Amino acid sequence: MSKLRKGARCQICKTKGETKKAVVYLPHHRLSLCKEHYIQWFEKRVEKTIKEFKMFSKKDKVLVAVSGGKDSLALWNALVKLGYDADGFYIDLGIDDYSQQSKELAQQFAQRVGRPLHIVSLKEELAPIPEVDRITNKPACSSCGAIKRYYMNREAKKLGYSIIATGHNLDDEVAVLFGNTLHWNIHYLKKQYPVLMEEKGFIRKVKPLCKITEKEAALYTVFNEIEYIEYECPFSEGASSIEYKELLSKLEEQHPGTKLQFYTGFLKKMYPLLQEKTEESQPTVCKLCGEPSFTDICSVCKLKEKLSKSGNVSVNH
Amino acid sequence: MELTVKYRGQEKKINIQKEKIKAEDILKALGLSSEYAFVVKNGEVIGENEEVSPEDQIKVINAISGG
Repeated sequence: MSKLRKGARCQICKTKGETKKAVVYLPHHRLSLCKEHYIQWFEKRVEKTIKEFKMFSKKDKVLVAVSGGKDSLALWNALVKLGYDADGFYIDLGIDDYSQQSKELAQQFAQRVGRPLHIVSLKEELAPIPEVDRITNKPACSSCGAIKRYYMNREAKKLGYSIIATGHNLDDEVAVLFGNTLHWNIHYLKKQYPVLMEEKGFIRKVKPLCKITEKEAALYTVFNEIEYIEYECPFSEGASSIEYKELLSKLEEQHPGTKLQFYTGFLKKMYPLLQEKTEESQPTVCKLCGEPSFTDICSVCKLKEKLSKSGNVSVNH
Repeated sequence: MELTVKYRGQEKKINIQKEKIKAEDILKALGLSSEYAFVVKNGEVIGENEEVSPEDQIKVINAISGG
């Protein structure tokens, strides 16, 4: 039974002698909850994950990578409510209406929680994603991810934050884990952990929603009346992660808890084995911009050179 | 029965050949699963078994996103 039973009552209310109607059923936790107790459950789960993986404490300055989507806004809302010192960071990717609308929603939300939102524009720093996509033969999401990681890291350091928190949820992590396992991509599997500690120019990156499903994040934003961008980035159409998510959701429907078990099982049993005897390359600094990189010239500077050759940008390291 | 639903920022008309329509019928008509999608009726999240009528304001949320 993966659906909310007709006439089901909130199980937490029941323990308090109340009989409030349940509006959500969480099959893998076997929990029927009302709106108020769902919000409470969600925030407790986020806090528990932060503590379980020793992500950060209330003394740390956290920068939340905000896209205007449900996950990052849900994360920012939960962190502020839980009393963490969390501000927002938005990268304007220059993807027409999609970027314009998501930026407005991020700004609107920053006002609502009364926290600063730092903004970097790719049009000013590098080139908008549609232009980057024209000169590279990689999938747009791949270049976009590398660019976002570069500016997030650089700006967080500049602004004095010690942690970057992203809204990656359980479905994102499971889809990536599934893809990396299918291709036996050991190099990426070695790094798939909800905390990436700071090292040589990289600041700590954490994923506090790694045990929250996509539906759970969407429910939390709807219950909190948070407006978010509901349609997909035009460049993510046909992304393999969506295919994997749909496939995994079919499994989950038949066997609730599969996704969480696959992910937490990997973290507990496989991840430690992958850390043994590894001769991983150590980060060095990019010869051109001085930011941390695993190669002599970082991926963003390589892109800048390509853009410069194609006449799209003047090289400015 | 014909219903107008808001889905991913757009209005969609769906036709369901039933007298009583439940939230799960709407999800099914749109090819979605309750594993990752849900229905909001007049601003409130509803369970899959709850009925809806053409007079209700209906929004369907599909939580799957890529990238």
